[in-house]
Amino acid sequence: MVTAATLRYMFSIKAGFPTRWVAKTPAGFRIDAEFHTTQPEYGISVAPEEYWNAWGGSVKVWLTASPQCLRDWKARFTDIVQQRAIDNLATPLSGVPAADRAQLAQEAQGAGFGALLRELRKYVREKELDCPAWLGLEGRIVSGVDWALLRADGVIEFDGQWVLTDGELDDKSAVLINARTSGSVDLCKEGGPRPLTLDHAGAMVRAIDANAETGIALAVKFEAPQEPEPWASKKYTRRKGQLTYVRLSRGQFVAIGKLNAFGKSGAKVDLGVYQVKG
Amino acid sequence: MAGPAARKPANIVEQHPARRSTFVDRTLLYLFSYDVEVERDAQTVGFFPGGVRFNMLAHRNKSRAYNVMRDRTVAGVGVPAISGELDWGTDWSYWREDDIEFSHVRMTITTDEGDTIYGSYPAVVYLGLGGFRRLVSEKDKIGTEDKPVVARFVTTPRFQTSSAPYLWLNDLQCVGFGRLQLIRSEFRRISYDVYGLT
Repeated sequence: MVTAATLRYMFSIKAGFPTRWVAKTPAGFRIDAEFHTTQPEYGISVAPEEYWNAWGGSVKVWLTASPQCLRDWKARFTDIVQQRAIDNLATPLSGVPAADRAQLAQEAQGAGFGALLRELRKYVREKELDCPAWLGLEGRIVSGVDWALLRADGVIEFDGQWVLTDGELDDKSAVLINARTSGSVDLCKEGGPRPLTLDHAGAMVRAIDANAETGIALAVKFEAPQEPEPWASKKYTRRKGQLTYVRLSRGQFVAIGKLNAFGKSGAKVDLGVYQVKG
Repeated sequence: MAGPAARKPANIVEQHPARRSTFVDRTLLYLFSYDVEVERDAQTVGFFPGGVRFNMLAHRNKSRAYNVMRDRTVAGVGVPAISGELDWGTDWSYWREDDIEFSHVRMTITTDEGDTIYGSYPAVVYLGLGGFRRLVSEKDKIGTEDKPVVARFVTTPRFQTSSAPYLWLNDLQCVGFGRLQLIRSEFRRISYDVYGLT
């Protein structure tokens, strides 16, 4: 039996995507969607509670085995409240797993958890430490194109290529990560009317209310950089902390979330990215 | 005991049609050409198991599709010739350690009349003996501004459009004969002649 615990939270993506209806083919409407995070409310971020629930245990184990890291992390804060919070976060869990999860969720609700975590991630990246736990990803979509196909039965097939960065768009030292997305999304409601022709499907999709939400699930395959060869040109040499993301190249991931509209005027997605543990 | 000949069905000759002694008919129909100026700022992901990954983007205002002969129609068929701008194009490339590049190209042409044509294709390019190491290495850069190195390659594009004058493109399997210019180990300009296989 597959349980929810087999999905491990990695990071979240909020993005807008203006669309262009490129071609009508017998297979469906070919729609070009360009995902972007140029607006302030969009970006790649980490949901603290969900992150800590998935990875808090691993981070605690790592910090327990690496007291120097814990000291360095604490030293980055002068506020005694934040230092105490770090001590709490580093305290190993005990008891049954269910209790652990409840405790983790409680810890992540503490004030400033996001800032504490961000500082730990920065520290690990700067020092290029071999941290066994995933520390999240925060950044932007550099380019995100999806050549979607709207079929006559009201289903959209996604086939995308995204490039993610862990910095801002103009940050030349930031790490780039390729992501290939694919999946089918049924735009019709369960048991509701379904289009009979392609034109009908097109009209139906264009008429979707901008506030209407549809569930979306995509398979995602990442290509994150690994250790470069010592003889390689500077262009291909390691960017600070890039090995933090190697984990993304070594697993199968899914992006699950909500899609708002798909009209000509553009739309947005709110996705959580999870590793699928077999 | 029966030998191999005895096990062979008696009607084996009748099971195979007679082999042809001529090729099937085929024609290369010239459709259009395009030149892509590659953005200097490639999206370099870096080393990936087996090679190097990077993405090249077409320079939006400097990449064009056109008819080499300046014809207004495709010769011999009479359909409108294609002329316009490549307003979007990306090439997800993977230089493999065995000196072979694997690419996945996607592009959009906006014709001079404002119609949209979508194209996609894989490309396989032989980088030459030791090409991977020379391209990725700091030393021995390939090509100079005065003397760019030109590599040849072949692609198999497919195009899709809903524009009435260009619907004929949807039916064609195409082949593109390309040349790419390398300057200081970077792709700078890529040119194609695209033919329909008929």
